Amino acid sequence: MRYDPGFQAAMRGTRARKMAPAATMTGSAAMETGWTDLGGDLRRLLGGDHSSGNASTRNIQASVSEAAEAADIQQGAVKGKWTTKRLRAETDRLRAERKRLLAEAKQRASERKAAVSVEPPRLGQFLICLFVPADRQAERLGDFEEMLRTLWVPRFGLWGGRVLYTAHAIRSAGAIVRIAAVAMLIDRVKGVLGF
Amino acid sequence: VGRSGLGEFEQRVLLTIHHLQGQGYAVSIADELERLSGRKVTLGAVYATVDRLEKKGLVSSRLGDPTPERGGRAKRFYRLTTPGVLALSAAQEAQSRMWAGVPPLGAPA
Repeated sequence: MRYDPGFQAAMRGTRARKMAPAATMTGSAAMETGWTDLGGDLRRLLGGDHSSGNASTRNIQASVSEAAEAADIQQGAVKGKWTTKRLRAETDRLRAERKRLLAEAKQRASERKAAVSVEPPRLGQFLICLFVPADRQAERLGDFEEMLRTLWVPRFGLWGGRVLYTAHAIRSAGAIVRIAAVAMLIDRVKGVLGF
Repeated sequence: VGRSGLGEFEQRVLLTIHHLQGQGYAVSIADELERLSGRKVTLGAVYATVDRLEKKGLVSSRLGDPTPERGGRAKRFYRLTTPGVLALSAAQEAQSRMWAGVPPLGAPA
């Protein structure tokens, strides 16, 4: 069905008259509001005979159409005219929106999967617990787990992340062992020299 | 590096802890240090250094709230103590004194 804003405006006018008090209507209109009035309104608004429309009739019709369309746009019923250009632009926008939403959903799904399936490697945890004092173990394990979940797994994948966790745990343990060994050596030297 | 002096990496870690304003823990210190210095920093190196600085009394630490991405474990936040601030400013003054007499660095002759 073709969209005819003029007809809709006429309908609105009729409805408004129906709601008006009877004192404002004349003669039989006050007695029998409705379809008889609608015909008169339509003729008045659309300029009488459609087929023979002269210039002034067309002007009135155009102004009524614009007013009705503007009112519809304001009410949110019809959002402007659907020209080909606008349709293409809207299609492109919707495609881009769909693509963005799909990418976001995929990202969320992979993050959820990673968050659920990432378990720190046992060997790495064991090494941390072996070389770190008991009062510092919890936060060290937490730091490594945070790095695993937020940096290593998103960047290098599940297995890459687990390997990096273990490697960093070994390096960390190595540094601790090295420092402990140096401290022990210094203590021995001090003991030998009598300090 | 003397007993009370600061090594280069220790200075950097102290500066980063100061920069993070009491919100620095090992991971954020390593990240910030990597960003500021442009060099790879391992967690192990940061742990060893902050432990040493803590033993020297230059930094203090407190436990924060546990978070889910850490498996429900708490963070240990570090901040500078007064001796830490003094040591850092002394290191800065020493650097400034050294640079004061140096002619401007231009193209090599």
